[in-house]
Amino acid sequence: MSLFLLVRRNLFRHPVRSLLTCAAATVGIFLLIFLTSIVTSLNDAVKQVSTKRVVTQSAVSLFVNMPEAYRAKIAGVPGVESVMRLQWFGGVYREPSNFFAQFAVDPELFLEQFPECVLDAESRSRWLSDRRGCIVGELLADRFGWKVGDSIPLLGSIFPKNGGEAWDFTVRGIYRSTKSNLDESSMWFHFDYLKETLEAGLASGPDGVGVFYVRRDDDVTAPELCERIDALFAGGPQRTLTQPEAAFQAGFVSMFGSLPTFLGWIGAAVLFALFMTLANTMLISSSERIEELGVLKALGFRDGVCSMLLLGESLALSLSGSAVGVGLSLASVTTFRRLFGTTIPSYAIRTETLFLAAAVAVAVGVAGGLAPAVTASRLNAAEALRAEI
Amino acid sequence: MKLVPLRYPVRSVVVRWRSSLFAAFGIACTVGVLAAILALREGFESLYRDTGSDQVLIYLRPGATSEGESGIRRDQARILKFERPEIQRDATGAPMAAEETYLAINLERVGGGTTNVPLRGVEEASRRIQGDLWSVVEGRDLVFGADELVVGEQVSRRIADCKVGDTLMINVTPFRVVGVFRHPGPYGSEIWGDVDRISEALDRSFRQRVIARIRDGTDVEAVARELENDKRAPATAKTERDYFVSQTNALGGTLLVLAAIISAIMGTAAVLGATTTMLASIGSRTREIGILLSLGFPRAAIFAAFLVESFLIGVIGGVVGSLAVLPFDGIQTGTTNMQTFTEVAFGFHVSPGLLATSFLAALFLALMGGVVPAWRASRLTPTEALRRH
Repeated sequence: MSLFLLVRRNLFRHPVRSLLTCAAATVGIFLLIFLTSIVTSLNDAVKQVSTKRVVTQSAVSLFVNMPEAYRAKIAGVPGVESVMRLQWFGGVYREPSNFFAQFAVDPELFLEQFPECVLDAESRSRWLSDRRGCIVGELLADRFGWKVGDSIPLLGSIFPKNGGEAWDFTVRGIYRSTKSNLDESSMWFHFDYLKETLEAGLASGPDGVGVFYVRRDDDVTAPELCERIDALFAGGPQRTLTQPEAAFQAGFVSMFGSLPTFLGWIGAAVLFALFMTLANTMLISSSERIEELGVLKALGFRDGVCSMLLLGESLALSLSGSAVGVGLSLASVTTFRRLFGTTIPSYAIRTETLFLAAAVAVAVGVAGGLAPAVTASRLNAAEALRAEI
Repeated sequence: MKLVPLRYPVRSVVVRWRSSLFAAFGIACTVGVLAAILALREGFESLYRDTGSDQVLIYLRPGATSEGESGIRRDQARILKFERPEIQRDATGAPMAAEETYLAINLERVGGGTTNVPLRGVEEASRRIQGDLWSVVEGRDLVFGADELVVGEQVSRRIADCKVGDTLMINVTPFRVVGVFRHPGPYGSEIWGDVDRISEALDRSFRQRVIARIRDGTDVEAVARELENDKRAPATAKTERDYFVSQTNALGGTLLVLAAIISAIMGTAAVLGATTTMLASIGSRTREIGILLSLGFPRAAIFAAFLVESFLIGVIGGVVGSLAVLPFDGIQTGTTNMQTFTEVAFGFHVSPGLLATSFLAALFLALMGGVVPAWRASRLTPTEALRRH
């Protein structure tokens, strides 16, 4: 009991110093959670994908389209339930800096293949019945203040309209997502609208289809199905590369190259800096208190108690500061989502990350108090009382 | 004004060396991370900035911002190549210009995973336009008309099947790798082949750009204006240097934001650490300050003395932080150029200017941490200070 009281009193002895140290722990833990979450969010987008879907692209390049006729051929492969066309549109909304992803898809199949897309029945039927209609993710709608019924003009960069005017889409629904592989920062519209406009000669751009999303039934495994589809086109005219959706998505994540490693290094530096600050405070506190420790020892307190006093103080500083850091990072998820919406669409903090943060807080707390604690336990009462501060 | 001798703050730092070092290392971590991120950005940007020429003009589809989305009809490319008056001609009267295709192809990395590598279809003049920057370092140069490729040094190191003698499948046509070339700029991360052979293998009828060496004294802006509204062959014309710089904006900007966020957060922690140290330093010397004041040293001198002390901590932190980032110089890494979705290899580049920036940042952080404690010290009243233990 008295030990706790003493730790508490000591904490409030230099309130400014304690506050500064706590704040350093807050900042450090906040940054650590942030960096870890960037990496885990990138990986989660891969892990959470449906195992029911495989993706067919051109084997040569993601930027080469496949002939439209491939759809029927793939649909004929045993084990295939449905084949959805998907085309990256790459339109510009007012300014290039407003970048967000737009995809042309088969709407019925999209809703069927992506049950993680939450859209009310009314919006569904509105979208399906409007050729120029689109649905947008909630984050994207928030970003530009779009509501159902708003019109979105997009300048085509891959598919420029002849005469240079903008494509016109109408928001028919705002969707949410239950899984991080489908982000809420994209726009989805009718593939047929794109195709008809191209065929009518009103716009130019590559024809064919960028990517096929294929849903398999349970009679076939994903690798088997991939092999079957690729075998179909092995002799050309356009070879295909079919992969489970996870591998397809992983390709995009690996584009970040060594970024995760790099963030890891930064995280290590942050940890080190945090440890330094805490150790510094404890060093100062303990050296100021040598005389007191001598008194405690002279009164008959055991060595262990003196160590625990310092260790406890260090832990208390680290834990309370970290708790605030955890709170702040949880509170800032939405802000970061908005900030990094285009690069890391599904920024989220995993529970494991919070456990990691807690473990780090304890470890830094112990490590920071260790050196003074050991010194304190070795202290000789007489010597300590004689010591000059 | 009577100044406190410089020896005083210097000795104070030395006497409390452990605490001073902790604070200095906290600062060192921060500026080390800042410098590392900036070195990454510098490496990436100098790859483009320092190798682009003002004497080389690039013609893209009107409105296109990168080769990936550009497309020029062959007849128009020919018009540009042969009829533009600003293009230099060689001794035989042939234009120093080339039509090129560009496609990010899907290849495997050494060590697994796939990535997008730029495949460029070139003409004989393409290499002459690059002048001395472009040279074959292994194997031999292309023979035009044959299914052959030369690969950039970076590609041959990082991408599978890109050694001299290997065969690369482009869709269904095998191409033989006959040589490795060196280019200090982004071309060093590309694969080059005969434009006609590659167009046939990919079944593409469009060119992506025309590139040309222009006559001295060409008014590039006037040419660009003229071409924007040209009836027969409209184009967006940019010097190679401008084009390169425009390619780095996205990633350079992202890295800058990252550097800003992380160093702001870590910087806060470092300032807190420095403040703690300085407060403790002043707290334990209250009596000394009282003596100095009663000896007649003005408050400003006391303020300056303690600011010098934190300045010294900043110097240590700055030196350590800068030294820590030096070994990163030249380390090769790769990332995706977000404009074309292709992988570019480049090295960390630690420039003197960058070291100066991080050193100044260290001083700034230390002074930020020292200003409040120094102020408090200078506000003490002599009698009170002398009385306090």
